[in-house]
Amino acid sequence: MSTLLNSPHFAITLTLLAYLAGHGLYRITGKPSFLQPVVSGIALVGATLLVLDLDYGTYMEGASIIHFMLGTVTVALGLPLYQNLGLIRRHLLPLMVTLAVSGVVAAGSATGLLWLTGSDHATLMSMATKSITTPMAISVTESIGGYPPLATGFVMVTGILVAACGGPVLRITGVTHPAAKGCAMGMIGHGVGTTRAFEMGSETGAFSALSIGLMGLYTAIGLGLLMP
Amino acid sequence: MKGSVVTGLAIILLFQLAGLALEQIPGMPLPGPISGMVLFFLYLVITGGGYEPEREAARHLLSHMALFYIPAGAGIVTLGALLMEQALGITLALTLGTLIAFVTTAHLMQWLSR
Repeated sequence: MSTLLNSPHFAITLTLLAYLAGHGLYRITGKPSFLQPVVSGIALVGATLLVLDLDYGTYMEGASIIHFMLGTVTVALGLPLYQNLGLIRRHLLPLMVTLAVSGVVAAGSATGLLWLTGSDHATLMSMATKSITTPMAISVTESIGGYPPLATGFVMVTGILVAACGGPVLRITGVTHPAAKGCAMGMIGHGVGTTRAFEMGSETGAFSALSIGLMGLYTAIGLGLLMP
Repeated sequence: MKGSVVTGLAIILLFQLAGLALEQIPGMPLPGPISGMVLFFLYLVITGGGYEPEREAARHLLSHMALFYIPAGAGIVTLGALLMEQALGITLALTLGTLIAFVTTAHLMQWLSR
């Protein structure tokens, strides 16, 4: 029995079933942002490992083919970036200036606050990628010496906070321009924020969608140069 | 699986492999998959959108993106002690840090788009 539970078959099947269950749960509950399929998917796999007392390393080895495909998905992100090229070129200057500042403030404010309360290098590096889309955050965290699982958690919480509180914050602080709303939702809240941005309007959604790739690339290059 | 999806997947994997090759260059700031994304993006720009097989494969992969980060994310089960130890800092960074970055981004973009 334990051979079976430690086999790649179990790891891969568990991952697929957890993902499908997460999706189903998200749909039947009316798609609340805190029930992102990935959140419940991760929770289901984590709970299974704890309940059956299985080793995470063994599970990860078994599921390594799925983890490998994360790199493939990251490459595929080139497609939405290409599809938004027209919009990026029309708003090039404001987008680039906002991106330049936003990336520094997003990574800097989070790591700065964490550093002030006393933290170790690996946790700081896992926090630095909190505003970029998960597949990119995992690659970047791996290469700068953070913990990918921690980075994944931080990215998800950030996205959920932006999706849940972004609308009210924009209203209270008087932000009405669709491009500004979209950039804030996408540059800070990545894909999770973008889902919510599309509900605010198609122009807001488009700006949010193009912000994901820009912020990911900018943060990856910046951290790669700062933390060789 | 349709033949075209396999072709598309093979093309995307070639870009992933090329990204990995670039990663071997000393001083390369980008992780392999992200270099692969940049190369794929440049390919789409140069060819005016590429061809349907790779676009279809990319759309399939992206529509199930969340599946692929479950293995890495589940590692959170090994980090409980660390989360407890640094609970205050982590909470501050995620809430206050996100609020600061969000408001800055929104207002800067609104000011620049006047």
